[in-house]
Amino acid sequence: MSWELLVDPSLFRLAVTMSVPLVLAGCGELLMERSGLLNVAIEGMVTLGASVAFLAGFATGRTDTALLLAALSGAAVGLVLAAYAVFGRRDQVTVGLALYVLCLGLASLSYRVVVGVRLTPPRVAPLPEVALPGLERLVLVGEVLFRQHALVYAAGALVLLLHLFLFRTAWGLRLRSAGENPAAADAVGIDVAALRLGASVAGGALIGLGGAALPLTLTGTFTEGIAGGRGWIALMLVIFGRWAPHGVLLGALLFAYVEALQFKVALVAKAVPPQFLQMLPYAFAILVLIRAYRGAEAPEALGRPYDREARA
Amino acid sequence: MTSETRGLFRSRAGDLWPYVGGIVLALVVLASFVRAAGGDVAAALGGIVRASFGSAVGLGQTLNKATPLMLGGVAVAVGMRGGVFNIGVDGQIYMGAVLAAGLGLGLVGVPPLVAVPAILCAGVVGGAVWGAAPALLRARYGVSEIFVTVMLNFIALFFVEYLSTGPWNDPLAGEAITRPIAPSAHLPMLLARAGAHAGILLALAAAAAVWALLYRTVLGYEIRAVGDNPTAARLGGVPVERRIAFVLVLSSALAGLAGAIEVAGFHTRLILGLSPGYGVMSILIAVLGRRTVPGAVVGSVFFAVLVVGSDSLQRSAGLPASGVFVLQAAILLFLLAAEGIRRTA
Amino acid sequence: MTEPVVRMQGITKRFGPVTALDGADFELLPGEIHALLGENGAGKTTLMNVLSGIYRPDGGTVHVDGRPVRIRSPRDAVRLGIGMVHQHFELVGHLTALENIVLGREGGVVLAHDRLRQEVETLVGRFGLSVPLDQKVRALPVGVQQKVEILKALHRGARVLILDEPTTLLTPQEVDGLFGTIRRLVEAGLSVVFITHKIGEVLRVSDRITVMRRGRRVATVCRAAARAEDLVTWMIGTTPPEPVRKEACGSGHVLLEVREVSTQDARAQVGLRRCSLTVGAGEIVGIAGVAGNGQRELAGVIVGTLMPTSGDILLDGRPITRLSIRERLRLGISFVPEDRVREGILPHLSVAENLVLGLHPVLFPSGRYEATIARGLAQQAIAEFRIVCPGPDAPAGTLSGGNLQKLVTARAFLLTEQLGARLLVALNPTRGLDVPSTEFVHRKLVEFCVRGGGVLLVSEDLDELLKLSDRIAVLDRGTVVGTFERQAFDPYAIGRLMTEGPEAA
Repeated sequence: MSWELLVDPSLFRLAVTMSVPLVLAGCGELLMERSGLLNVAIEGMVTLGASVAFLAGFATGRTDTALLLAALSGAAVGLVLAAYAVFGRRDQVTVGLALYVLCLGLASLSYRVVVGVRLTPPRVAPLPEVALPGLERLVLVGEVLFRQHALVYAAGALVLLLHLFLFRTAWGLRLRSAGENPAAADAVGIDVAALRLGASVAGGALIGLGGAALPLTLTGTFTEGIAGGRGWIALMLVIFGRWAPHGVLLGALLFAYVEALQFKVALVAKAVPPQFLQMLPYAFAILVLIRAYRGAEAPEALGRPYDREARA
Repeated sequence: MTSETRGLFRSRAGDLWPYVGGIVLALVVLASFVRAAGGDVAAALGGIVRASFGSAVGLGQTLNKATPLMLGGVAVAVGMRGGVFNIGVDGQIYMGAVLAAGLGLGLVGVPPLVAVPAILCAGVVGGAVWGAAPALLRARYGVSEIFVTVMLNFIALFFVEYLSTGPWNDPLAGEAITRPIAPSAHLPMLLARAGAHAGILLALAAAAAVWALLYRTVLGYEIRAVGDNPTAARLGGVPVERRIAFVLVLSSALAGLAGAIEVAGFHTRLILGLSPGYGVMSILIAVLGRRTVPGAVVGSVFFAVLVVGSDSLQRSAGLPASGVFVLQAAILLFLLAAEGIRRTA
Repeated sequence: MTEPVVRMQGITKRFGPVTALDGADFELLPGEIHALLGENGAGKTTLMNVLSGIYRPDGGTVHVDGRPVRIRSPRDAVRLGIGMVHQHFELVGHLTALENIVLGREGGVVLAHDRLRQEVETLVGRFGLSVPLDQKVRALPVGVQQKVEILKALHRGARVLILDEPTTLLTPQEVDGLFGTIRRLVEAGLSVVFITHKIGEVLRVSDRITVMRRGRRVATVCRAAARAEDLVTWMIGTTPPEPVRKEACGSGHVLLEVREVSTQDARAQVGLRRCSLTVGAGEIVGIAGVAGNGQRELAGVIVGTLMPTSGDILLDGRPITRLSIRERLRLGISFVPEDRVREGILPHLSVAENLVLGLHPVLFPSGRYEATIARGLAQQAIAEFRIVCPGPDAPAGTLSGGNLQKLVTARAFLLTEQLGARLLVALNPTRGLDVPSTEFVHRKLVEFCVRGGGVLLVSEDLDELLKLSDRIAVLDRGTVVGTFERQAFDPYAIGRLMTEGPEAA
């Protein structure tokens, strides 16, 4: 195994492509957590988004419909989570786990109902590459970054927009205060419930899109385990990224690089049983989390329901 | 009777309707999916009942399925009592199964009196070891066990895939199935005609032991204190980190035992599909049972009925096994909603 | 007759079985400083929470500027020009002072920092409330945080400002500063409501005084006509109880010695700096100081939650510096924590199970948990401390705040009895308790000393310290900067030391 393997441009290119589901889902989770909601249903939402996107693409042949419906499915689950967590004030982890399981089941059942039983699993056409004129001719960077499919550019734009929203707008300030000290936000007349609901719906839509990226840009099919833990990884990336969009992006690229590397190594090191290589990203994720935990400061009200009358 | 259990029964007597309502809702959801898949609802529902109750074999299957669910549900419940979320029951079941199968493959000729306890111990150890890592990380560095246990699930699964398709594979049996363990290491049968192995007795005994630990010992009292308010517990002299680590290891040991029972009692081999989502179901069971041990016991039997029933549904209506998740999650969500409404009313 | 700017009539508010407000009335005239006086639990804060939109009343009417209004949320109150500064500040720690002040009133989608800064600085100039606008609020001292809170209300256009127990965490000098600010606000046209339980302050600064008891108004008087004895009688309904007196009963034996102890927290912030003090048997040593100067750290190193980086702690001459909390409990160190609910209570476990926390290893040496023993002890404690609860098996979380405080205090005293504890560390033990309960706790503390125990009493209430302590040590920036013996107690000298440090002595 030579060192050139590690810096092969096609490896970086693959890493960028593979980072998209993590960036989208991670930003969605980030938005929710900044408002104070801990969403552990994320893995299920990613799976459901993947299922819906695949089935919509399969049934209609149109990728824009697929993306839209996947986003809507995520938004719907976000809505339900908010209903329980914000208005019902139930424990967010419990509700999240229940929704996680529900989404897994719905994803499988929907697939069975729409696709039925077949000998060979059907496929959908992946998203086409879109080369950005001019930029694509840049040395090295051009090939890696600017000859990608549309969701890559969308993900990049999302990170920037999310950063501007959170730190440069009044609504972002209010959202952050709702996640840090909802009592203080409420006292100045901010509607904490509405903010959290909005964050949950918007965040859910992004997570659904993240799921859609899996069949539409990576595999072309849908299987029950398609998410492969990426939802959980996105959850970890929010911590790693210190609840900042550029941190999530960095973490996603790092992780996707390891994932992509595992593929390449598998091609070369035939002697190693494939399962051990497949374990690597998960072990890596644990190590990253341990490191990230030191000094990480979550939004103070994360995971705790806000009850105005319980203030006395 | 503890105040928590009394609360459980009191609420059930007066407010059975959330549970009943949840079941009705779940059945409605199920029926609609059966319809959408082109199946016959009446036949499907009838099939479920027959499969789980209507015959000796069905009853045996229900008891068999209830075993890992009971152990898993109690494992998650005791974890929650101690303030930890053990999402890694699947991985711990698998690692318990791996150690049990590994030992079982080599125990040929050893008498059952030695082989069976040895295999079960191996399972406990396997699960405990798999839970030790997140336990240590939580105790030492405060790292949340939620993520670590989930990642370990995947790692365990890959490991089992490797073993069952590679070095331990039985080419005559199938792609991801290992060679059989020594016959002397099989669990004795409880109801031979019904095909129910004695694992359910072990599960019940383990549940009783956990209950006694929590409510009759100082250690259990301290665990509950830590789970309720670790700051207050610490000021009361309780070694909080040690108790958290203990409860996580205990929880994973119970799951490991379930894995050993599945290998020694049910499959007599290690297979890739050993846990069809038991880990996830255990969480639902623990929450539905209000995080109490008796609640988890009852809930696990109920879920076993659902699982056996849905297996039959798989055969009759062609619905995937994970479809049962929708049922189970729907029931829990309904319950959570009903409780939420009741609290604000 | 001037029309009151706020008029509340017949307000009732219930929380489950508890009636917090029972037909309460209140009027605020324009441009006045109106003190709302009552002991803890009288309903003063609840009434103002109704006015500021936190609670919705179950009955009664509210008129603002003569018009009936329905205040359903803090937003409605803000729109009516009513602003409230709570006892526990509502600031977002990670945001700057400027961001906290403009939160909710940013005036646009994009945050225009310059314009907002301009707006706030205008207010600062007008009312003389200077704060460092670009510092994160959690790094600011309490007195400055209070100014941020006031600026917040002013930025929202408050015409009525409600201050809830504003002087609790302030030194005597800062209190003077606050009163000056209040007078400036009123001169500029605001009306101020001042919630307190301290008669001295009321007689200093208010124009009119309303006394509340048990959720109703008892009397409203002008300051000129008010006498302290009448106010007290109105507050508690009977003649005031004989105040507990602490006689010197020290035996001279040194029970606890803190020797040159320094601490550093996880963020390398210094807590204690070579702090030294002693507590003798039969002595109450009071610790005075502005919150955040090492009080928690001092309690922490004695109780065992914090390990010093240097120095020693000795109990009866034996070093206990590295012992665990459990070992210190066994040696006889008992503790009443500051935030009783957050640090002292196990909400889902029963009252009995809560009561035995800490002494449980000694109570159940075999390792078997005996619920009957716990229940028996709980019955005794419930009777002795008059804890209101359904019974020893009720989940502790169902108790009210005051009863939870009694429970935690009962536990500390139970520990002293069962373990023969000889040192009691108490942080604000009577905060939130009404007068009879406060006197009860004070009496128990004195009894404990008579029996030979020693008490380290940390309290924000200087009056309580002055009443009970044999000696008062002032803590400033992690070290003892001055000690006062009982004969030489001087509140102003103590206050100076608290704020200006040893140079001022």
